[in-house]
This record gives sequence, C-alpha cells and structure tokens, in this order.
Amino acid sequence: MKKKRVSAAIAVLAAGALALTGCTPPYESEVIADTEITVAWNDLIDNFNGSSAAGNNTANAVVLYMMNSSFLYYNSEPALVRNTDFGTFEKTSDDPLTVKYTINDNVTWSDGTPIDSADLLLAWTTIFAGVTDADDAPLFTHANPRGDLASALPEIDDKSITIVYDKAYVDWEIQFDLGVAAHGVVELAYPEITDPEEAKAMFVEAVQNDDVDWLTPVAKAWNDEYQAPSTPDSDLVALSSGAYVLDELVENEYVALKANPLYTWGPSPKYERIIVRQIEDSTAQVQAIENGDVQIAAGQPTPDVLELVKGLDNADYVTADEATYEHVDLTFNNGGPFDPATYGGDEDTAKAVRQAFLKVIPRQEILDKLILPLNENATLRDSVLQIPGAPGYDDIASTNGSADYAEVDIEGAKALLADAGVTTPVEVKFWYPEGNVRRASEFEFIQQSAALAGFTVVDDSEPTWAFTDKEALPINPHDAVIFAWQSTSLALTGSDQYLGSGQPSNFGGYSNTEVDGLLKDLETELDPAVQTEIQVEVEKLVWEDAYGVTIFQFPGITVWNNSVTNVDPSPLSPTYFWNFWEWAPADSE
Amino acid sequence: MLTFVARRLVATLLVLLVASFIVYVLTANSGDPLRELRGSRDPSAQDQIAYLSGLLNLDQPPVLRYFSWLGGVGACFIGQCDLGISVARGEQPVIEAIGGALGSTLQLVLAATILAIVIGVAIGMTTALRQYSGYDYVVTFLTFVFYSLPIFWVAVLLKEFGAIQFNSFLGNPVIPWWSILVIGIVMGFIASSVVGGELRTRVISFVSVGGGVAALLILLDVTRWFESPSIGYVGIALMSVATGAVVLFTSTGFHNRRALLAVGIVVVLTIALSWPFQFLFYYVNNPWTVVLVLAIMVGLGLLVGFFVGGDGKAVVARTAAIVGGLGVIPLVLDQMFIRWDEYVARIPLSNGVIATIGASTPAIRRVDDTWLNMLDSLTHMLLPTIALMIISLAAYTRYARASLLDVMNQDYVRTARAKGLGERTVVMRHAFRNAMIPIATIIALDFGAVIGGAVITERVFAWQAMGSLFNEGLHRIDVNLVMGFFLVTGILAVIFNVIADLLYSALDPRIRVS
Repeated sequence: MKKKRVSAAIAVLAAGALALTGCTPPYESEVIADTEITVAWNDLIDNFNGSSAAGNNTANAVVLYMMNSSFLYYNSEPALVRNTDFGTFEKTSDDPLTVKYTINDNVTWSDGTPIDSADLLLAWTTIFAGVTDADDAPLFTHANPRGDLASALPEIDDKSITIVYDKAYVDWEIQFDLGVAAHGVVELAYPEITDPEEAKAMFVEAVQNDDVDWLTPVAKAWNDEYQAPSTPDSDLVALSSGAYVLDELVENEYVALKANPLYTWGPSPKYERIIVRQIEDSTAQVQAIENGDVQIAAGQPTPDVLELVKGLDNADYVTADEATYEHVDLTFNNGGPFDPATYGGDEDTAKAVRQAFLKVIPRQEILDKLILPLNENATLRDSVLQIPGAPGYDDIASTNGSADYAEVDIEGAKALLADAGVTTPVEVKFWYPEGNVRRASEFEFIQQSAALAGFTVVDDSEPTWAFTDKEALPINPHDAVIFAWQSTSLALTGSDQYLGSGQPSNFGGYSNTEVDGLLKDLETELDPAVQTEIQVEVEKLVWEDAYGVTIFQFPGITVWNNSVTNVDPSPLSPTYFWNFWEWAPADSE
Repeated sequence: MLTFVARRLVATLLVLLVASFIVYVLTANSGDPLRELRGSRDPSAQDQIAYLSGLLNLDQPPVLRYFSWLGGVGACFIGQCDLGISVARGEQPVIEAIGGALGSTLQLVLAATILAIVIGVAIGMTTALRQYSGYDYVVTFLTFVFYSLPIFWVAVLLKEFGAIQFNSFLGNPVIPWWSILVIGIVMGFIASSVVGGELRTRVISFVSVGGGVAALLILLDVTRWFESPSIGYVGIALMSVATGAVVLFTSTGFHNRRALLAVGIVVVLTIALSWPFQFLFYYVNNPWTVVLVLAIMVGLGLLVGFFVGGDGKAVVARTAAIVGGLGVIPLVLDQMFIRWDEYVARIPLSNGVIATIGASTPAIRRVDDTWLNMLDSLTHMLLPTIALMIISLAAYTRYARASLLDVMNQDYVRTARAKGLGERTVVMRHAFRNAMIPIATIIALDFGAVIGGAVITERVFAWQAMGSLFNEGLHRIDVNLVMGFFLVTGILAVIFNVIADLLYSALDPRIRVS
C-alpha cells in the first residue's frame, strides 16, 4: 500500500516536471530493423488520392490507411476512435454547427513539410465543393462532394481550420478529414513552384479569393495526377502523413511500404516493411499462407476454402461478420400482391399480405444452413439501419418489432391472409441474381416455407439486376427481391437513399411520409441520444409497414500465419488493416 | 510474296473488324458495369454512377459506342492510339494496362512454350523411333492423361506438392530409401527403352543409368547437398560433359573423331573458363553479361570447330558452337546457386524457396544483384511454367510422334537408307526436317493462342498478365479492357497465321506463297 502511494507520488511529480518543462515525452520508435510482413489483398492500389471520384475504392483505401494519418479511424468493434496524437477536433457551437480541427505541432508530410491549415483548406475545398466552375460544378471531382453542407469559406490559422456548417448535420464527425498534401498538388500543377511554403501560401490565397483560373490546373492535378499503377515518377504523388511511406509499387503485383522515419505521432508500427500482394483467388491465398508467401489474407469463405483453412497447421483464422448484409425487400407499387392497388387501394389488406409473407421467410433456417457453417458466430441481423455491434444496435433491434419475424409463423401467416380475405394461393414473383448459388438456396428455402402458408413463390431470377436501373425500369417488376447492401461506415445518413420516397436506391416504391420526415430530422440531429430515438422510431415504422426483412451479415474470414501476432479483423474498411501498427513478428516477444 | 502477305493481311483485317464488332456488342450487353455501385448505399454511389455513365457514354447504345471506340483504334494509324480507359483499373488507359500485362505474359508463356516444344518434340520423336515398345505405350498413356487434365487442378496440385511439400522437404532434406529406388528404376526404364536394342544392351543401359541416378541421389543425400545446393566445378563439369554428349549423339555421332575432339576441347574450355568468368559475373553484375559470355562461348566453339574440323568444318563448327552455347547454362546456374544461402535468408518463406504466387519477391527486387533476381525469377516461374508446359507438352508429343512416323514411311527415307546412310543421319537429316513441317504450323498457331490462354494458370499463381486482364474486364463488364485484350490476341493470331504460312514455304520447297 505504501509502495503504491510512493510510486503514485513519483508519477505525479514526474508528470508535473514534464508539464513544467513543457515538453512531451520523447517518441520512441518500436520498428524492428529488417522485419517485413507480406499480406494479401484481392486488388492493388492504383491511385494515391483516395478522395477523388477515380481513387475512391477499397484497394486504395487500405494502402492509403497505412500511409496517412487521420483524425478518426474505425476499430474492430466497430466504433470510431479519435487519433489525438495526430490532431484534435471539437464542436465549438451547435447553432450554427461549427467544428474546429487542429493539427498537432510535430506532424509533417514525409518530405518534411509541416502539415498545416493549407492542407485542411484543400480538404475543405474538395469535400465541400468549395470552388466551382462557371456551370456551378465542383472544380475538384471529389467522390461525394457536399456543396450543400458547409459552403462558407472557413477561417484558418497556422494549424487549424474552423468549419461552419450551413445546417446541423448528424454525421459531421466523419464528414471531414485530411486529404492529400496542398503543396504537393500545387507543385504538380505548377512545376515551377518548388518551395512548399510558397505553394501553400499561393493556394490559400487563391481559395480565399476564389481565383478559379489559378485553381483550375490545381484541380486537374488533384483529379488526375494521383493515378499511378506503378511507382509514381514524382515523389509528390505519394506523400505520406502516416506510419509508412511508399517504397515500391509494381503494377498488379505488390506495393511495398517502409516505415516513415519522420513519423512520431500515433502508435509506432513494429514491422519495417509491409508488402501488400495482389492475389485474387481465395484458394491461392490459403496456399500462399501455408507456404509462407504471405502472412495475412482475408476474404469471403466458401465451404471448400474454410475446409482448407481448417487443415492448416501453421495458421490461425477467425470467421466474423462483414459489413454487407442480406435482405428481402417487397415491392409496393407494381400491381403485385404487396401493392394496395391490387386490392382496390386497401392499404390494410396489402399490409397483411406483406406481413404474412415476411412471417414465412425462414430467416433462422437460412442462417443455420448457409451461414453458420461458414461463421459460427453469425447471428440474425435484426436492424435495417445499424450493423450488429455498432452503437445503438441493441436498442434498435430489441424494440423495432423485428421479433415478430424471428421465427417462421405459418399459422400466423394463414390467419393474416384469412382475416384480410385474400384468396390463396397468392403468387409472388421473386427475384434473385441468377447464377448465385447461395441465393438460389435461399430462394428454395423461402419457396418451400411460403408454400405452406399459401404463397406460390415464382422464380423470377435474371442475372443482370435490371430492376436497379431506375431509368430503364422505373417500377420494379418483381414482387420480392433478395440482395445485399454494403455498409462502408457508421454514418447515420444515407438510409434515405433506399427508405425515402422516390430515392434512387429505393427499388420497391416504399413510401411513408412519416419515415421521410424522421430521416430528414435525423440528418440534422446532433444529440446522440435523440439520434438513437429517431432510429428506433424509423425502424418501428419500417418493420410495421412490412417493408422487408434483414437476414444476415455476410461471413468473412481472416487467416494469418503463426509468424505474426495481434491480427484483429474488423467488419468495416480498412478491415484487418485497422490495427496494422500492432502487428508484430511472433519471435520478437 | 508481298502481294500474298498484303492480301492475307487485308482479309484478316476484315475478319478482325467484324469479330471486334461482335465481341464489343456481346460484352457491352453482358451486364451492367455499374452493378456494384447500384448495390452500394454509400451516399457517394449516385455521384459515382453519374460520373462513370458520363465517362463511358453509357447513355448511348453499344453499337454507337463501338464506333467511337473504333475511331480511337483507327487513330493508331496516325500514331494517336486511344483504346479508352479501363474503369476496372481505376481509369487507367487500356494501352498502359496491356503494355504491362503483355510483358508478364511473354515472360510466362515464352519459357513454357519453348520447353514444351523442345521436350515434346524430343519425347514424340523417341516414341516414334521405338514404336510399340513399352516406353511408347507408357508415354502414350501419360500424354492422354495430361492432355485431359484440367489445368486448375494440375496447378493447385503442383503448388501442394511442388511448393508446399517440396519446401518442407528442403527444410529437412532427407531422401527416403524407397524414393531413391523408385526414381532409379523409372530413370533406368526410360534410358533402356530409348536406347533399345538387344536384351544385353537394354540391361546395361538400365543398370548404368538407373544405378547412376540412384548413386547420385544417395551422394546428394549423404552430403546434405539439398541444405545448401551448389553447382561448383564438379557440377559444371558434369553438366557440360552431359550436354556435349547429347549434342554429339544427335548431330554427328561419336564415330566422327574430329567432332568428338572439337566438342571435347569446348567442354574442357568451359570448365577452365568457369573460374575467370566468375570474376566477370561478379564485377559486371548485369544481365547483358550472359549475352557477352554466350557470344564468347559460341565464338570459341566456332573457332575450335573451324581449326579442328578438317573436311567437315561446317558441321563440326556448328556442333561445337552449340555445345559452347549450352555450356553457358551451368555457368549461370552456378552464379545463381552461389547466392542460395543469402536468398533463403531474405525471402519470407519459413522453409524452402519455391513460391506459389506472383512473379518476384519484393525483398529480392530491392537488392541490385542480377543473379539473385534470376534465382528469384526461377523459383517463381518454375511451377506456372511446368503447369503450362505439361498440358501443351502432351499435344506436341502426339503431333511429333505421328508426324515422324508418317515421314519414316516415305520413299525418300527408304532411298536414304538404301544408299547406305547411317540411321542417325537418316533420322536427323532426312526425316526430322520434314517431320517439322506440320509441327511448325502448330507451333505458330499455338503460340498465338497461348498468349490469351493462360487465364486460369495466371489466376491460380496470382500472375497479372493478359489472362487476368481479360478475366477482370469480363467480371466488371469493362468493355474497353476486354476489347484491348481482344485486339492484342486477335492481331497476334493474325500475325502468327501469316508467319505459319511463310514458315511452311521455307521448310517445304514445294510450296510457294503467291
């Protein structure tokens, strides 16, 4: 007891001394010399600007994740983690929504140029479409430019930027982050400028004066110059703000990263080099692990691959949920069995038929027979909006009414149909992507189960997903469809894309003004507690309307050779890369 | 002849045009390139869809898009090729994608094709000469087995046994006694069958070759050679003597004293020069050194042949030059194996050296050492080359056997025998060249086909070449990429067709191209 107190006192003294001298503890690199890890991914980086329309894909994202620092990242729960070693941000006002981002002092690009507000201003310009051409189109072709969110020119000082939103926005936390280097893109556009500070100053001035003529070449460089299938000619293209810098990129073969000698912010990685190899075939990935060609691989398992993995005696594996989830959606507006128009506009009859059909979808059987063999930890997904494990999921799943569809209820379905006065058999044209074996099995399970309650489920499959092209087919000809949505983040916005009336991904013609209103409210709600409340409300309505059912998360598998430790798969991008700094050689401990 | 070539080219150009139209429209109609995006509920998906639709003119019907694509191809004639961009490859221009892929394909396919031709023709010819022997039946059986094997299966098995199991053997290299026995018996059987003759000769060849191989294996096992394989002077000497003997046997025979002397001198020179060459290889660490040494050795061979050859200067010089040229192989191999321990230390594999994926090890590419990189290429190319080879090998064996049997029954072969020529001269000079005529056609056509035909091998071995380009294009409905692939393979097929016609006339004086 006494000892503890003494040591606590010493700690307090030491902390105080440090605070007095004003210095932070010196950063100690844990990189082990001459260590190297090779990991497999099914595609390779070809663009070093992950924010542009051309560069926004997972293969770029996983490599750029190791080459860049950000204010936030997703861990394996999945939950958002703030990276305060790199920089901080805080909401300084709710009305108008104002967020101040500050980069820490010692943080630099891999060429030694400090990361500062000019870089953050470039990020603002691209993300919020800060500069537009004569036609009002964004000059920088960001993958998802949001000109409607924060159009006011932000205030900057040396290391920070203050973004004032035009309206309250629920996903403000993940809306903004650092992109590519401002001096890099300026020097790529104007090769005669060689001084980074001058480049940054000129860029800031141009943005502040809305100098479109001067910025047009810069935007062109930002859009196009980062495209690099092999090691780029200019070092400016692959500037790093993170733990690793680009060593070598060989087209379609591998990318080699090496530890950034300037990196002192954030956790230190252990491997001196990380190599990402492109291997598309999953059997080849497993054999490569067995042979030792690669140390980590991940993918969607088939029973054969899982069998192969189980046979490895030099590797561990984890099966877990991926962020993609399977669901059945019903069509409300095609004159089919689920359309009120079929019953003379009788909403209640149509709803009863929908509920009856959803009651006979054998969700548990599909999970047990098709998914559990591949992922023993799999559970039913009971929420339309959130992925299992995400904040709020439990609250939503327990109260949204999904419990009504937990088990197949033939009698209940029959009763619903009888009460509604619908003559059986009811014909349901059911679409699934032709050629997809798993979904063909799911269709068969559904067909057999539904037949017991008086539904004739007709195979309406075709391979081209024609109904997703709303210009060609404004009304979905299929009565029910089964496919998957992919979540790429924990963003709360975006669900209006498929739940909102007339929205582009709403293929079933679902329309509920109350849901529309709630989703609109959600978009501008800043209080997390209220956010969850709204989500629960939305889900209650959606399940009550018998919009459809969610079934399962796609199973994923991550396999790693015993020579590496601390591999921890995560469902969201960048999946197993999320804790790359913790990977360590097994023999180093 | 020029008019012939021009006429053929124009005709095939028309075929290409029609074929490209059909392929374009079929690929464009095979699905929706934006399907993946439509299945995403990412807020940016709609922007992406609009962006790509504009980029690829998806609002136009495929027929119209074909003509704008054709316009880009047509611009090649004025040096401004535009094959469009590949969406599947992050908007990379298709020309660049093809440029990269074609290089890897050639690397992979060239070695496999050449080896398949050489080994296939050799096996085919020996089976033809020993028709209806046990050897012939066994080879016939095996070729049909290989011919019908699916390549993805062969490739996966090759990885399991050729890489994973072999690597763990290299980790603890102990050869069990029974495998020595089996290998010895098999090698003895092959030798006795090929040599043929009376029972006594057969027994002698069986015992000497089978026993020799078994003894060699025992020696390698006892000296723990596999732990750190090297070639050294002994290896160079053994290999040059063996190549000398084989070349001599097939070209002039041992009875030609002058040729024997010349080849002997070249073999001795190879062994003697291996010491100074080591310095050259070390200090001029560059692939061109191999070309230089090759030139020196061939030159020495010619020179020796010229001075020793006497009346048969040309034949002897040629034989000696071939032996000299082939002598470079053990020299280069020796350089590569000297670096074995360094190589093993650098690569990520825990055991052994044989890789199952890719074309090179990043850790080795960083090292500026030609011979280490060559060794790396060797360990990476070994399995895919065998996989590709094993399938076409079977075909070549059958063709060569049939072709030689056909020729051996011709009148001019009987005439050659009647005028008292030795069997070797009859086979190698009179029969072999004529037997090669139909094979030349097959080789030319086969090479064109194999450029695009390695799709599965490439996928299994994670090689990124033309096949994977095509695969990717089809999967992502990336029409431009598929068309780029089609153009290259189509043009190659056309070119090789013309070459086959020309080769035909060169080999057979009775045929005129006009």
